[in-house]
Amino acid sequence: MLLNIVKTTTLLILTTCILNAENFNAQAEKDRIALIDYFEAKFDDPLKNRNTFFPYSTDYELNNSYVTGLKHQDFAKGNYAFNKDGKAQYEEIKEMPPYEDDIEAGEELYNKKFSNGNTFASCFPNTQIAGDYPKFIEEKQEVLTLGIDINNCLVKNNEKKWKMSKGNMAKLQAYFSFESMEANKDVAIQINSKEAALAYERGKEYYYTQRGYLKLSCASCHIQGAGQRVRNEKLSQLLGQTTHFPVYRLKWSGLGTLERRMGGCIKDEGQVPPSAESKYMKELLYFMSYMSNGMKIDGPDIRK
Amino acid sequence: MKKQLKQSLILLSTVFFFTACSSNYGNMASSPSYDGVANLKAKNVCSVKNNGIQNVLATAVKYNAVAIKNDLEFMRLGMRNSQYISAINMALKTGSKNIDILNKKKKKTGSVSVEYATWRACSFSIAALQQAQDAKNTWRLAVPGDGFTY
Repeated sequence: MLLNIVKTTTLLILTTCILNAENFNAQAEKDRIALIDYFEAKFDDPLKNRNTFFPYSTDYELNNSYVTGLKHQDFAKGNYAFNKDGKAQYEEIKEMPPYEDDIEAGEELYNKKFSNGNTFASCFPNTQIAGDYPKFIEEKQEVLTLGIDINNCLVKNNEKKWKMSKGNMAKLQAYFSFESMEANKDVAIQINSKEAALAYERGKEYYYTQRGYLKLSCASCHIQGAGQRVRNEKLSQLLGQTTHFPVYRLKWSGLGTLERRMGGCIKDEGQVPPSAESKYMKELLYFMSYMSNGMKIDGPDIRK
Repeated sequence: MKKQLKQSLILLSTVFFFTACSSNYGNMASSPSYDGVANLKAKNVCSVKNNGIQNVLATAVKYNAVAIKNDLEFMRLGMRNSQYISAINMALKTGSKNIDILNKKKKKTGSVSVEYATWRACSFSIAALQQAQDAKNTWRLAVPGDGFTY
């Protein structure tokens, strides 16, 4: 009798643990798959699906400017996945990528000794980590981005923090990103607890919430508006948006982090952006990165 | 046999309960609330002509503080709403009829009348909060696989 109760209780605990562990990312997976379905449908044949997805585009544009039949992994290239003209220009620039020196500078920073004799290797022994961030830290109950972890490493070694948007921060991240791309790594964001799932949900809500005096959400341009032309550029899609950061932007004439780009987007919506280290920004990036789960790291890269 | 059946039933119900609790976090994300803002009509409250510039400015200051606290402050033409408010205060002190629009490098890119700037600061501070409140019910409408269908 006692043995039966012990057996049943053990089984109960084990089953509960397994079921709970499997379900923490259930909603996120549902969202990710729905997003893939949406973009595959949208870019399957823009001309054929004009009424649903591209009501304001011309026949000429839909016939000549879009790559058709795109599948999940194709979207890792951002808007160059479907944008024929943009991709031609992109490939020309890629022949002599302007960020090559930054990758080398990032490697030097990685190996440079701190004043206490340590290097970044003391915090990041593995350099192929670009796809693992942001991560949810259970002990602290908060999202940790790669930028913040780099700064934590600097502080731990009695060094000054770096600016989160560009400069050394972007260069070191470019090195990590390049190493991850060379190793064929995927984006692999984890949601392993109820708190992590809630952080993801808050990030999602931030992404889809209309804000600023223009009352735009990130989704207005990068879900519903993705692929549509604004002046002479086509808006990129959420799927695959985090795979290629940091990016060398022609507008910046230099390398910048994902936090810098997101700050710019939120300003464009007409709102003061949250700081790169704020809970809002970290959870937003957590959500965005999860949406690119399973896609190849493809950074650093070039954008206009 | 009966006992084992009973134990299995308990096991199944407990597992079901835990699973149901853990499977959907979609509606659990916390959102701030801004009492008293929902029913304000910016067109009336922010009318400089009807309420006087000092009252409208006071309304702008009051609600913009809440917007800042919740990371919702508006900005336009490179200027935060709080910068508009500071510029209006300065203009009222000096008697200037206009305020300068400055970009992030503090370079003048234009100017607007103090009355217009006050209206803008007030309506921006109220809209930021009302919009955030409305969004609690609307944001899911843009989510593929949720409220957004195609």
